[in-house]
Amino acid sequence: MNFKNLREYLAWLYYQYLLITGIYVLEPWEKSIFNSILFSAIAMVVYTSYVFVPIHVRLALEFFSGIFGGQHSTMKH
Amino acid sequence: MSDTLTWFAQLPRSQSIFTPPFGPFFVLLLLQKTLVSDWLTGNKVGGNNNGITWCLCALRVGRTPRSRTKVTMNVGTAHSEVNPNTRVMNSRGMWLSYILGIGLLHIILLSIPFASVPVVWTLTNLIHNLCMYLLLHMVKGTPFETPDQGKARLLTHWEQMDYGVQFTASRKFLTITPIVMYILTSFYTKYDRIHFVVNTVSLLTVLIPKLPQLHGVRIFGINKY
Repeated sequence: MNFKNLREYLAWLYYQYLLITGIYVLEPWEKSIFNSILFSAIAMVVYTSYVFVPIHVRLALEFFSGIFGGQHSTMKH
Repeated sequence: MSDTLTWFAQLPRSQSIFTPPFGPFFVLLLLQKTLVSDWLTGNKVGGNNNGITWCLCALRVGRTPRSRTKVTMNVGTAHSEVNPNTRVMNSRGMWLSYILGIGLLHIILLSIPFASVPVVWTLTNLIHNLCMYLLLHMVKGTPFETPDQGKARLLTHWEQMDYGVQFTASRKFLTITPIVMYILTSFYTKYDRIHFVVNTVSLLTVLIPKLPQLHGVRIFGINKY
């Protein structure tokens, strides 16, 4: 497919998203509601991952290194 | 184009993580359905089926030459199934998508800032059981016409599964997942009393309709017609 520029490509991606989720058939205000909810959920997930994933990964590594090091790892969850 | 497709699809496939029971990741399906299918078919407008067949063959999820109960990719083609609802839960990728859906629900609930971990697990359990009850044990009939003279019109999806045969693989799987969810939830709520009551009631609403003794039973005539 020939995309003249990035804008056209992004517009096509958005079109595919509308089709696959089925909101293509909805009114514009219904589309907005669905998009707002979905966007809020995704933003929450991204923020939570950003805050908590490094902490959890560090804790997990500490926990597993305890097995190889032979020490007791005191874990408080 | 279709000759090449059938030739390609008939090539023998080896086992891979994409063959049943794991099935393809539905995210992968989503991706290739949007981006790659159009690229492969060279269409300007939104894609059609051929790209899907191409990509899934490329990902080695085509038909494998096995003789035990096959799950075929009969997508978008003619079939002689009287009621397709009976086989939907046995379809390729369905079990995995179900588990991933629960995972996605759980991750979204975990992202709510003010929700504690026990509350999130109870909510996951409740929402999962509620959706399961509504979709499997309350909604009746089929969204399409079936050539069975309306036999399935009064049956819930659970009763339609595998034409009423009890203890099939999918039925066992769908019985076990709520139980596993319940066990996990009990652990993560630290066996708190209120959470226990709520989760147990929810589990019962989803386990009791699955009993063979309750096949076709409508208590007090609720949901009969």
